[in-house]
Amino acid sequence: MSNIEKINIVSIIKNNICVSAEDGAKVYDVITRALREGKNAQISFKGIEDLTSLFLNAAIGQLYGEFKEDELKNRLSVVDASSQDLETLKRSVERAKEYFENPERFHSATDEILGEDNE
Amino acid sequence: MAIILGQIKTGFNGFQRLLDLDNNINIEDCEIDISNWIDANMCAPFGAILYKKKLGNIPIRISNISTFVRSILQKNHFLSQFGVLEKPDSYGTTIEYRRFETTAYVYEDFKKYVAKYFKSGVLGLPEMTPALLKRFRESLFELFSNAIEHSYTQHGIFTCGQFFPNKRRLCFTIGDLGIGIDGNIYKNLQVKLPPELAIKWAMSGKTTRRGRSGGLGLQLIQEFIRLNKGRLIVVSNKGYWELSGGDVSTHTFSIPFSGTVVTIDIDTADKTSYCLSSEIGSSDVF
Repeated sequence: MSNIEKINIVSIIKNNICVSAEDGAKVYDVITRALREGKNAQISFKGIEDLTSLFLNAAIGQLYGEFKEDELKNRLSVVDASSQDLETLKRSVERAKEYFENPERFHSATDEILGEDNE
Repeated sequence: MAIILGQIKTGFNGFQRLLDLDNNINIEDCEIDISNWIDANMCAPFGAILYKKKLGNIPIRISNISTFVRSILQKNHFLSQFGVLEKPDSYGTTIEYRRFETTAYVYEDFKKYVAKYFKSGVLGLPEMTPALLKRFRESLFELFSNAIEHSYTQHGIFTCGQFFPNKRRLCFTIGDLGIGIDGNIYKNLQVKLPPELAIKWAMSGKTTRRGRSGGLGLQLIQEFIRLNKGRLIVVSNKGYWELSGGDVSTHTFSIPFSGTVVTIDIDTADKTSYCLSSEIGSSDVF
């Protein structure tokens, strides 16, 4: 039996417009199930027309709160993605890594926001 | 006596006039003189204000509307709420004014709306590169999703747009009557920020949702607008934030807007590839 589970995003959400966090969570559930079963996940972007960071944060970014970065690097792969979608995915993944390393940084009303206006 | 609505262009003054109107319609029976120009996309915040008044049982009438503006507002269906018949748009330059109920089907409704107006080959859609059209559509979905996810509105999402073929521009506005960006920050993070700083906070990649990475969507839209040399305007409560010509400016209104409105205005002739990191390989992602 193959140790790779092929996960087609469009098939899971039954739509080629991948924009809501709710739909993203459906993909997240399928990926986490595969990973917990010890499989590697090959995620196909085939057929995607529109893609938002909100969707990707929920579908893939959230995995970085559950699994270690090295493990995801070894066990996830992506196929059939356009260069535009790949870039959005890369940005979402980078953001997720930063977020889960230091969540408070993304919630705080820091001096760099308030400082410029208070000078 | 009718309240005369001044010229409503997409910008600080246009919003200020709508806010003044909102503030002045507090009598039981009100007539609005629409003899001046209205940018069609500004029907979104205008419609939101009128909807709020309707909820307050304030009967509104319109009068003195110019023939040209009347024609546009019939074509984009804005005047339907006043019982004025819709008019077919033979050039396809208007994008329908809509209020999307925040039901379980709201995303499906919005997807159909986007597909109707922003698909290659659609009548009226200016010639745009596939990469530009995709970035524009995705920006609309990001903004619409933000309104759904963060506004806590019970009153729907208001949208309207307009193609300007001669100017090679496409302008689209999304608004809600929710708690505003400052209200969302206070609700979720218990931090009080002045409205204009709250917008700045959101535009800097922050997020109010704990335990979920986020805040990327507005950053991606800003990058897109900078490359496109377009314009992005956010109005929330008393705050006004505008990115134009690559520069950001902020202002404060004297009267608040009861929610958030975002306008995206792009150059449709832009040939940027929008593949900034074309060297990314699928194995480099994780």
